[in-house]
Amino acid sequence: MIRLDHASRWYGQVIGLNDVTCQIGPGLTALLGMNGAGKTTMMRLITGQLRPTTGSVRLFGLDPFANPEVYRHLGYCPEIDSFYEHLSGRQFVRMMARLTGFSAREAEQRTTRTLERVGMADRADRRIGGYSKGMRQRIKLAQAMIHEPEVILLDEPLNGLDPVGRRRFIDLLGDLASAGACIVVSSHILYEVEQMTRSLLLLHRGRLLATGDLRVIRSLIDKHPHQVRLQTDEPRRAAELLASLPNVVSLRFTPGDEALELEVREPDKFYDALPELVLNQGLRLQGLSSPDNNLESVFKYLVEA
Amino acid sequence: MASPIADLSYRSYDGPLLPPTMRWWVVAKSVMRLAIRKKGFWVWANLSYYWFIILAAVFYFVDVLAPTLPGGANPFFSRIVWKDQFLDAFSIAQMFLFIIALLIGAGAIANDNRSNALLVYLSKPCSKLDYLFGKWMAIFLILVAITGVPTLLFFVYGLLSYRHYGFISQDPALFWRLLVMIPVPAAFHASACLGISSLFNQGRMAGATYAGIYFLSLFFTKAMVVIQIIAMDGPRGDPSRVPSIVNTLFYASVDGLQIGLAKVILQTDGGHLLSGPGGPPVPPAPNGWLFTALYLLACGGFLAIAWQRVRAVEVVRG
Repeated sequence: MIRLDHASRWYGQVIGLNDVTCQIGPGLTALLGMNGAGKTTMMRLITGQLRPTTGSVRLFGLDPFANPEVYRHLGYCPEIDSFYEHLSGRQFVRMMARLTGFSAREAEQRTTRTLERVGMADRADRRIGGYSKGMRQRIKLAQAMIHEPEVILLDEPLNGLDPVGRRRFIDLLGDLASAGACIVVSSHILYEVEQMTRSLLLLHRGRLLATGDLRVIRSLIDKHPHQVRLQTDEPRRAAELLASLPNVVSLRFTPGDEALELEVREPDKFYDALPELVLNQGLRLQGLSSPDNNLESVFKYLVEA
Repeated sequence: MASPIADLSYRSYDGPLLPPTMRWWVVAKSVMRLAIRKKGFWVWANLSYYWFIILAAVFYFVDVLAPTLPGGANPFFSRIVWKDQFLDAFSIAQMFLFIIALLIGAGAIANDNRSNALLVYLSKPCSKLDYLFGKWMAIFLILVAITGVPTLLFFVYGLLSYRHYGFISQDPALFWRLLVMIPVPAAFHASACLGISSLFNQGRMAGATYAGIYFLSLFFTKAMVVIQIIAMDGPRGDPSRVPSIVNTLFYASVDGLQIGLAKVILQTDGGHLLSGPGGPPVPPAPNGWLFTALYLLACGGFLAIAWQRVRAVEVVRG
């Protein structure tokens, strides 16, 4: 659906996006990076509000720059939320529906339906000026999905949402994505992204650092062995047994001998061998976790590299 | 556990949509709705036609109370040039039209720039042309209504009451001339508001800039009036002694351009009904071609600025 081919965007002397090549298909994809990494620039290139300085951006094979034909299939929820303060949420969403091209009746019906879907039906007739940040986010999402676009782009959509609202928002995005919509969410908050998806585009200083599934990306980072934490009441015996496995790089006892921390290479082989060892040797394990098999660690390893 | 078979029930809308030519109307309606909610708009809109009210009252009382000559002719009405009355009311309304234009148009794009609403607007299937045309039409239609309704009502009043005093026979094409004259200020203010508004992120700044241009040019016009009086050797002097360049520069203002064009359209030099001899000098109508060209150039220039400036994202240039 979305394809960037060596796309770069310069702002005068400053580079916003540097030679990015990637494809984004159906499902929920997170655009991840620190502030200034180029997430918003990439969003704006995809939404056709900026033209790449070099390279190309294509949506459904079309150049999105100032191309209303592409916008029929695109919903965009920008980060900035100060719209028309004098309008009510319902008026704003209905106006956007009309602008998309729906008849008055269709726009009204869709507005009601979409506001219910984003949980704003009961507050939709209040002025946007009186809305909280979270309510504005939902109204923005409503206007982005009012025309059931194939691609929905959301720039930092969880900013300002309370935990309950955040959960509902993530669930809603998940529903849309699992039904086949292409949803791209930009964020710099790792734990938020981790709750939403494992499919990532990781940007750093304008460059695409990594793309794909989080676990696959992690497994490809050879420089940092995977950390495995085993909770057992006999850590020394466990250490003796596990040390014989070929993929174990190091072993460390936690203070108080409550757990054993290992560094392993090729974790899949390690996880294959572990059950046999546990069963054959009667090793009692209370817990098993992988502290660095998460987005934060992947991000840290990649950015530090 | 999620099903291994993908749920592809999501369907994007592929039903009928309004033709793209109608998108501008959504933009225009939102501007007009905002305008008519402002109390100031109604106050200034009602003040803008006060001269027509005064004229109607004067005519009514003169008609009812003043003596008539034998044969039913009233000397007051016999002297009246009817199209000059329309020109007078048009000229007097200019300041009010300008204020209304500021109220409804100064923030038309500036407020969208400030709130980044353009990001949303221009990510819909609505082109920059739809957006600008919608904004322009909103200001234009409101100003046309404010200029046109009282003008045409007064025309109907004159037609019904003063036909025997030459209301129609003086200029049978008066109605059509009025129809051409009415949109002149509306188109100018709509273009100027959009052009200036697009340069700013705050409606107030855009308004202040337009007001600055308006009043500075008005001051220039007043300076030309003083030069005219000096050249004529007093207000009752000989108008032929005024250099033609001074008469032309009299129209070198926002109002002047439109009043000059109105004189060209109505084919009159104008005259004051109530001030009589000794009132301010009345410069002759300017060159029609020159003023039409200047008017179109000014409107086109403002629109070109707006076209250049309107974009969803502010791009830093190196």
